[in-house]
Amino acid sequence: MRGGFTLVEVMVAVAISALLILGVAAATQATVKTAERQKSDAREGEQRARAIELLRQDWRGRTKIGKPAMTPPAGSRVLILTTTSDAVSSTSRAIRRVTYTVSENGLSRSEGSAESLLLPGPVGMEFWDGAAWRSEPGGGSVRLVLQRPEETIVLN
Amino acid sequence: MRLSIRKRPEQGFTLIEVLVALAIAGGSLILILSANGASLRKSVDARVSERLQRAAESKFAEWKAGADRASEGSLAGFADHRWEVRTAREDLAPLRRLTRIRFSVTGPSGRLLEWTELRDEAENLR
Repeated sequence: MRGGFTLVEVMVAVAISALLILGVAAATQATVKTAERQKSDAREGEQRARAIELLRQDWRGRTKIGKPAMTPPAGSRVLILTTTSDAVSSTSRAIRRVTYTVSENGLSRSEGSAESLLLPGPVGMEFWDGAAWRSEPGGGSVRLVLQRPEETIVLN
Repeated sequence: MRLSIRKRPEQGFTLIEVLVALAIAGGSLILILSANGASLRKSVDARVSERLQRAAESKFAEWKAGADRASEGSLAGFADHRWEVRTAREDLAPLRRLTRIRFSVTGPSGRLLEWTELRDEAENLR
């Protein structure tokens, strides 16, 4: 019969426990990190997809491209669309006026009194007039240049 | 030196038992970490695939608008992917001048996306 653990046994046990604890901690940390990254990636992707889909619908249903009453501030562009696309706020389909503003702060959309920032961060917007990409709203296609990750979206 | 932590009637674990326990614990950790890695890879793949789809749609839209006159090229943001457009006259309707447009994207593993569209040339001239 033994009197107990020897010092070596205790030290080995402590070392093994420490290794196991470190391993479990690393695994837990990796799991949490993965979950956080997936969450932020999914949120970012969903935000981008939603913004593109809204602009696509509004652009496709456009009946007229308006001009802003005031000159937009330097570095920002305003796209005013009269569109037949489905409203975000109601289920009815009617002609409505939506305004997209792009600036260093991002892409925002306003419809009536509701305004929302669709995409944060710098966004570029250009229009194809049949010969070149222009900054003045018009033509048959719109191009969005997004950053982080860099992406160019063309909508007809 | 002996430490009297507690008294046990047994001799303790054998080396084999300790090794088996360690192997099980190590194996579990490796499984957890590899499952994490796989999950992250799948998430990244899904995101890349979504971006690829949007890049391809944008390129096709750009081509249809006439902003890109080439019939093939590399896809922006995807160095190892190429897009290609092939057009062919269609004889489906004798009174209409229809053109079949086939847009495809190929990657290192082969053809990834393909869309076909019929365009009425008469409508384009209007």
